[in-house]
Amino acid sequence: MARYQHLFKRLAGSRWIQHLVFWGFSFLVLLKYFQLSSEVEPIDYVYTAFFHVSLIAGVYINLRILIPHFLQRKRILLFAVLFIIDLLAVSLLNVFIFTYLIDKLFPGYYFISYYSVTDILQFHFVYLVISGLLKLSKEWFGLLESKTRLAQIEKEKAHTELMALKSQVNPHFLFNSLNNIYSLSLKKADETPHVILALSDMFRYMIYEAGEDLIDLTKELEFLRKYIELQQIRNNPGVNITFEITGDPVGIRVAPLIFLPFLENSFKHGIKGDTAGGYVRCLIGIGKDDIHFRLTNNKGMKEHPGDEKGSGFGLENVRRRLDLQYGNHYTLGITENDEEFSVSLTLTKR
Amino acid sequence: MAFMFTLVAGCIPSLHPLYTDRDRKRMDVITGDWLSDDSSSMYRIMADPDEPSYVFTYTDLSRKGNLFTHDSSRADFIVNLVSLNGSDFMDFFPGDNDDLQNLNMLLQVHLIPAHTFAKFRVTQDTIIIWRFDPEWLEELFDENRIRISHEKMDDQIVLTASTEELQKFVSKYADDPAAYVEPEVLIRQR
Repeated sequence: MARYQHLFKRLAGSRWIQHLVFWGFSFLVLLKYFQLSSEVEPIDYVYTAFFHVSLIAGVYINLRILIPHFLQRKRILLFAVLFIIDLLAVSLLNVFIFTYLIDKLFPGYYFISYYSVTDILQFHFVYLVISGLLKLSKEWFGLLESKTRLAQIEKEKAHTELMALKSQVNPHFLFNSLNNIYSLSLKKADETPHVILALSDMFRYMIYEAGEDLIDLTKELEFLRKYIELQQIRNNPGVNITFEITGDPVGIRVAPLIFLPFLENSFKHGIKGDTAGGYVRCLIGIGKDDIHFRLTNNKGMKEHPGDEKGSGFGLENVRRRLDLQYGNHYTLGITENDEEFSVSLTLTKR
Repeated sequence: MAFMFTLVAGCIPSLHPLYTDRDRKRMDVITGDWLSDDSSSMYRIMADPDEPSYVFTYTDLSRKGNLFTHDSSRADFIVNLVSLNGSDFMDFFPGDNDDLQNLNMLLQVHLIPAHTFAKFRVTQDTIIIWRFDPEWLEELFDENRIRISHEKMDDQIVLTASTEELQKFVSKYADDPAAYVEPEVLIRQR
């Protein structure tokens, strides 16, 4: 059955078959229209077949020459003139066939050109217009299909890229977290079990929920809160970490883990390098139409000189994700001086 | 008699005339009295004063009756003349015939008047008339070699083609000798 379906699909898609079906249908309709008495006579088949000669000539001149070379190249006026010439020429050909040619081809048979020139012009005009519209609509549908396919490919490509970028977040976060636990274990801190539990919650969120394109802002904020809490436990109590939220996050959707790389950077390159007097200030303001993310941290001393490559990795990643998921519906500003590093990200609400 | 035979046997009736109002032509040379070459029938052709047509009165001389008086030996036709592709044609249509007027009303409604056509050539003294050969037409229909609107009722072919179609057909095949029976010659009577 599937084999026949495939065969039928291939046949239906064949241009030759489509044209044969069109002309076959045309033959049957005109045969019925041309029959002169109550029954279709054999001579009506001959007449209908010869009537199609000028129709076919006119239609293919229009389809193969006039439309592709003039109409589709926007030479409308020239197309209109040539269309009229084509119409007149094939109509006269029809008259010539039935007035002279058919007597030579079929001596002993009696045919005339049964229709007036006006009627013949109308016949040919209808065929030229219908076949032209069929061609244009077929090409339009083809173009639409290509565009849809292209959009689908783009979407799949973007999705694949997004997944790849997200998958890069996890190991990044994992390494940092393991470093945190390692630090706590060295101190034999009482908070270690609590930290492991919090990390477990965070990984659950990252693995099972952050795979979506968009997620509730409340969940994302809860995740960030846990992350900062862990950083507070890990770092010197003298370090100034603030995390403030203004506005109502309920019902707002946001790209998951979009803020995390900035926070990771701030802890890695700010506080980590300079715990004494270090600070991280994170403010998230939920406005009427936008979500404003402001992050400021001190620029600490680098633990490992030449680490710039690693530090830029997360930011490039998040910038690409922002492009893919927000397009031009976001603004990202990064400023830094000798003392401070600031990130300002505004996302249009989704 | 010979012409009358042709007139009856050689008739291919048509529902539509061979002319349109603007095609009709005057050829007053055909007016007058004419006798068939075998002296079996007499014809009087008179111009219609109001229309570009002629009253064609036929009398069968083999029947008893007075010349050009109303009896069953006489028949009136309205004849219109038309030129097509260089040839002249007569279109015959029944005129005011007492025989028809006196028919039973029920019978009258069952009769549909029809046109018949003939090619002709006229000089001062003769009219030569070529009637279409119905056998030729029938053969063409039987062999499916002709395409013109028609219906076959019992054994009678009735042309149903429009005037335009008829004119095109007659014009195109006006010179085909196979289309006509032997011509009839009418001689002017002075």
